[in-house]
Amino acid sequence: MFYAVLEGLRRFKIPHSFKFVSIITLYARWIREGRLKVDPSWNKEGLKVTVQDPCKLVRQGLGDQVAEDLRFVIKAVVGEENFVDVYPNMSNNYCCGGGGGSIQAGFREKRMRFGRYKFEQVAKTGADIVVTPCHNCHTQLIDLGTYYKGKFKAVHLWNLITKALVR
Amino acid sequence: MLTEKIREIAKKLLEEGKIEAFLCYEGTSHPFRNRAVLVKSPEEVKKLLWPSFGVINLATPLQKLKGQKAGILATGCVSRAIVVLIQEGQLKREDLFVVGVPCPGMLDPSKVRDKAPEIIDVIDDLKDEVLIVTPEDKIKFSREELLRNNCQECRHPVPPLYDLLLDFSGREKSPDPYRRVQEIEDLTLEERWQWFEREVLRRCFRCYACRQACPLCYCPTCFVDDSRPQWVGKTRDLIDTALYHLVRAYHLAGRCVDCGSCEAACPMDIPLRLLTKKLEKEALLAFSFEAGLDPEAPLLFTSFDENDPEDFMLTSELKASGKI
Amino acid sequence: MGAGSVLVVGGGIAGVQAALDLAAGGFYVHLLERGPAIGGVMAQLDKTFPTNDCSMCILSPKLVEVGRDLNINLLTLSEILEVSGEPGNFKVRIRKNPRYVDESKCIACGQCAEKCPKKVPNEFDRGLSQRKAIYLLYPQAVPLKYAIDPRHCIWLKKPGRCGFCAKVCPAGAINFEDQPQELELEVGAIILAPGFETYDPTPLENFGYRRLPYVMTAHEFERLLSASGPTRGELIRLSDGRIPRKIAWIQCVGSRDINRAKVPYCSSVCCMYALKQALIAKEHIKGPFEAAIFYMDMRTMGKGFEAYLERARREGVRLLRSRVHTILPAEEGLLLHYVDEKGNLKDESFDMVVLSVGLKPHPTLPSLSQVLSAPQDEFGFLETRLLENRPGVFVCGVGAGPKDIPETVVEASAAAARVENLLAEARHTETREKTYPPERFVFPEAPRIGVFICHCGINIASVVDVEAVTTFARELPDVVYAGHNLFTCAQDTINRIVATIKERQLNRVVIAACTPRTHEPLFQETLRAAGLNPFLFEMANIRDQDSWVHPDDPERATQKAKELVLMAVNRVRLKRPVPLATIKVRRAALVVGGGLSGMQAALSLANQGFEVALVEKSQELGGFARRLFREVYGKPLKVLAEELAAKVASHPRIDVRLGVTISNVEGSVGNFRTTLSDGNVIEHGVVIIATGARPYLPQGRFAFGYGEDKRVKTLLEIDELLERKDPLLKELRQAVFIQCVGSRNEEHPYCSRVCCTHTMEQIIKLKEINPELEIFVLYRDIRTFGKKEILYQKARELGAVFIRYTPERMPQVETKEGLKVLVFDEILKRDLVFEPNLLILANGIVPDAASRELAQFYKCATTSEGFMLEAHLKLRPVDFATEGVFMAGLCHYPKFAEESLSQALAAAARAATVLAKEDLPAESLVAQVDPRRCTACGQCVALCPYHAPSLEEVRPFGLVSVINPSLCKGCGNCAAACRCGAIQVKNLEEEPVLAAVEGSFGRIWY
Repeated sequence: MFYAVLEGLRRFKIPHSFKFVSIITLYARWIREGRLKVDPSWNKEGLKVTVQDPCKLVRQGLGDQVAEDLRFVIKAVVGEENFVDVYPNMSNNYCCGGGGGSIQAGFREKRMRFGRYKFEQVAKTGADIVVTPCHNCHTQLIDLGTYYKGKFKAVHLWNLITKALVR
Repeated sequence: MLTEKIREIAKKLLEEGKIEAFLCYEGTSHPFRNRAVLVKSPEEVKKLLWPSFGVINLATPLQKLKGQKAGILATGCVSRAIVVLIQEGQLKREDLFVVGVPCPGMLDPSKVRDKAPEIIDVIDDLKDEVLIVTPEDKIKFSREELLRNNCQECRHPVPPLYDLLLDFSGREKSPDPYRRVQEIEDLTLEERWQWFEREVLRRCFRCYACRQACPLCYCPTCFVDDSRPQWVGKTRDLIDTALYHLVRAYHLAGRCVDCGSCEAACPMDIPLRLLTKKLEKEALLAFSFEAGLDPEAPLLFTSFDENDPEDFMLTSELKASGKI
Repeated sequence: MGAGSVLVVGGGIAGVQAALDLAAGGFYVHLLERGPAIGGVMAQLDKTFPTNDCSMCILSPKLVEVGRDLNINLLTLSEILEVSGEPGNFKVRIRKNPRYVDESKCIACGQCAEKCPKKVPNEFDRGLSQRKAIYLLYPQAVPLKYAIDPRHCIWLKKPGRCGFCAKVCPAGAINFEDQPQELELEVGAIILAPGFETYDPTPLENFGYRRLPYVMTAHEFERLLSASGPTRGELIRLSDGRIPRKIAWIQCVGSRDINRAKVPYCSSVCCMYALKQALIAKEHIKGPFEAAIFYMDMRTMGKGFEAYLERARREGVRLLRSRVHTILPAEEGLLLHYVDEKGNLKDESFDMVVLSVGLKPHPTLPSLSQVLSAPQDEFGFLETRLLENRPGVFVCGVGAGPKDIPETVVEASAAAARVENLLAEARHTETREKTYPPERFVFPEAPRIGVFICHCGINIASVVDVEAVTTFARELPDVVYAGHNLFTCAQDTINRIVATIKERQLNRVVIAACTPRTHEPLFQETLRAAGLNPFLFEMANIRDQDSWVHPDDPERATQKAKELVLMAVNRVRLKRPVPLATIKVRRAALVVGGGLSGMQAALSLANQGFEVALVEKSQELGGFARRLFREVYGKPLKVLAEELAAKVASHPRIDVRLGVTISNVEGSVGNFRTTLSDGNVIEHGVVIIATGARPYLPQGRFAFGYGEDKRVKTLLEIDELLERKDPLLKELRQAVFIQCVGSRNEEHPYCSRVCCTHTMEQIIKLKEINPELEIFVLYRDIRTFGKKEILYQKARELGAVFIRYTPERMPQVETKEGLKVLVFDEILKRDLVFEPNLLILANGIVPDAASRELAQFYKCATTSEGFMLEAHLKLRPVDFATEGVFMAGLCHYPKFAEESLSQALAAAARAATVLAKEDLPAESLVAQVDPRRCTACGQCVALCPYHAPSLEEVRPFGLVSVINPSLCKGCGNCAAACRCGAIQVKNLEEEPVLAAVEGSFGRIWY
């Protein structure tokens, strides 16, 4: 929905008076300003965390800036030393193969085939968790993990933030 | 008879002032030698005769008559030599009155002289028979046997250029003009060189009679006489002699009309005409070219056609035909 | 100084060409270059497409000419501070930055650089190697003088420290006190040729440039291939020294990229240079080698380029239509993931990847633009309108937009023409003439031969033992001097030769070096400068005919060099002085063809002050342009053509002859006599051929229903419909375009260049009238090169769908029951059937048969396709090989109207280099007849292709052949044919030839 609104405004040049901002950018800003207090010490086992750059959010959406913010937030909530990036990354990252949600309904074989590179890329990092702020990528990555028998779990960003919230 | 016809026409032309002089042959004290002669008045025409032994091409002395309106007795080869000279700007057509004769062929003095120790006379019927008169006898020979080699191989007995053609039936075209050339071609390379060395190089003593007799050797300074640079040595060294003959033959390629004057003039009986005959064959086969037939046509080496054959110079073709 | 002089900014090929044309045309030129030497990017290239000529070999003669031309003032290390004034009267303030080396003293011996301790990255080698703080830009630099880089020099940063260079310089040329100088120039016009920089792919992280080893830009790769580069041309990976057996090229890096690099235009040259690099890399590497080029569209639309593409294919260069996502590291190499044309995902490893980087405006352009108030376009290049940026300021080359070298050279000459137009009255007012000392009368002297042997850097010396050859030469009879030097063509060596000739009273000179084709005129000039007749000279080619062909056998190569020198000595001993011949120039031009190019060329020449005769075979001027409706420089072409026609018809110096053709031509450059079909004769000094071409009529396999169904039309017919706003267009539902109709096939194996752009322009217009129109374009490669790429982007944005087809599976058109177009879609892997209301065929351009015949009249050549053949595809694109004959427009090759206009101007500038002179040097080494030996046989007259000999009465010899020296070109056919040995070519007589032959056997000849 995020992308639909964003691109719709852009392509059809619909005049609007509101600003379009991703929650991730707000997370990053709030963490920097100290308004959102997070503490990575919950990660006692030193779970390794990597990241997915959703196509509609980063490459086709708001660009490298939001990808930078995403990484900042993740590092802040799991600990910088526990973060491992993928390559290629940010605007150049591979698509997960989930088709922006359009092929979640069926086409499993094709979807798994399209997502093989993404699986290999994530598996190569050796991470236990892959964070993805897109629920389509989330579903796809979980399915990929099962299909290709990987060890990682896909987790939404807000999950980790709640874990790291300082009460 | 042919002699009568010749005298008649010469007299007429001189009387009518159509020509200033007539170039033809006369007899000599020797039974089988004829001599070129230039008659300038009607009274002198009684000297003239049909030369059974007219072995030097009249086109050679004709070039000395520049500026004069001259008549000339022309057989096939004489006429063709005149054509080449016109093509090469050495003679002007309008200065000539060519009396053409369909040639019956001429006899070879060097063949006749071997037939008897003493010969008093030679009677030529201009058709099939020749009678050689000795003090004791009259021996009959077939004309063909005593004919000059170039006449035996002649392809153009009828002159292509003439102002008047005498009524006479001469020889037929030779069916096998390159027979003698073929004989040499059939030899191996070794044998060919041996032939060349034996027949040509060892005999030649560089008298240049061949060059002087040839109607087409008219360069003011012959290559042989150049000293800076000196192309060919003047010695009897085999290489020098070989170079002289080969270069001369090439200078005549596409021009020589096989009149045989070179061989006839040679005091050592060297079969010179075979060198140029070979080149004549090449010109014919490669370029369908024959010298001296049409004064308006271009010369062999100043004409170019995109379809000219190249097989003689392309390595691939030479290899394929086994030539190299 | 004023209107008779011109400022040319930029010392690359564009600036050099413009400077040379202007100087030859009678103007004084200030050639300004930022760096320490001229040459530009072209000097950095190894080989150039499509001829695969060595770049330096074809460039350096022009550079040397610039260095030697009295009328070109070379201002290196200079920049413009301020410009004021107006066209005809500009005042330019220039700062000449200090070189710190005295140019008049430096002999480029290289000792300073050897001793200099400071190593810095070599920018000429794109950082792949190092140079010293005191350096020569490249080995063949003009001027060949060292310079100190103030950013890195130890002394200049801290005086008193170092200074080793000054201590070792044998000429005392180092000058640390050198100061910037300010000069003020008064010029009539300014030409900007600022050149370009290549795109830096560092921001494109996915390509791993500067992150992964074995990834380099094409610009760097070019240096790697170069013999003057970091590895002397050995193709190895710089990081580990291994030979790369598999190299991939990735196209469109920094071009056609609106998302990441944000450079929307196409750089025009990268497809060709990648093909070239792939072919040349193959030559450099012994053993197995594979090249793969990853591309989107293969843009080989220039003359000879399509054939080059086919050649690359035949030689096994793999062409993969695929865009690589990321370059990944692999064991000892690189890994490329890509999807092939069949849709399969592939992984392939390569030893090296070359990024085909695009061309972008030089970083100094914005400040240049500001100082000159020269507006830039949206991409940062300089704006131009038929080469003019603003009044009096002209732009040529890549500074105005990406283009290849032939186009650049055309623009440079065209800019020169525009300047000559503007400043026509001031021609010859500020130029100087070269004077020579009087010629020494050498005839009574014994021969005194000097032999100068060249190292040619390492070209000769790496194989031939130059010392040994020199010693050998010294011992030969009549040789009084023998010496060797590094670069004989360098200015300082030339000066030393002049001095040696004078000191030793030499009267014959032998130079053992390269081929006479590069520097013979230079060396002959050198003899003149020393007071010797220039024909007392002989060259021994110990490079092309020795060191270059026998690199594996130095011993025998040295022996051969000795023999070659002996031959040359034998020859030169016998040479005699020959007077220099000239031809008087008829200062009028003939232009054949009254179309767009013909009219523009005629107008330019007439405005420059020359008389022009314009011959046109039809009854009106304008040519095909009258039937075209494209817009050029804001005007419909038809209108532009009519305006030009009106100007031409009313111009007092243009004599228009309509309804006539050429029936005979005699003479040669400077002195032509052309007979027209109506019997009139025109006498002129030069001729410009602008006979145009025709549109291809779809036929045979490429008919696609044309002529059978009236819904099938050509591009030109659609133009007409658009022009008259035909209501049919609004009612259309679907239109299909088929590209490459009649081009890029067996019958016409070339690209017609304009059709892709034409199609895009039409799509944009059609969509304006009918936004709902469905448009499908069936194409093989989209060739909207340069800034025209924007049109392609627009067409796609507007919704046109592009479907690729291959020549093996041509689209089929059926017209029996309605109009059907069938095509196999390579991506969907399915057959598609269209039923459009309109099928538009993008038909190509084919040469005019009549042009071929015309070319023969002027003894000019045509290509196998039937277009005119220029003297050199790269550096002489408007000249024929025959002197004095030039070409312009479509008869040269299909091109845009703007390009035709440019080329017409270029032809005018080139023609002006002849017409500006009173006389031209004629061939001096002509054939002569010795009348004593001539028998007037006429063979020479029949054989001569130039009709030089004729038979004439000459007393007291009678009729002999006489050769007209102004027609004779010295070919020697007559000399070879003359049986009597009467004809000799001067200084090429039989004696010197035989002397040379004897020399090849080791024998002396007197």
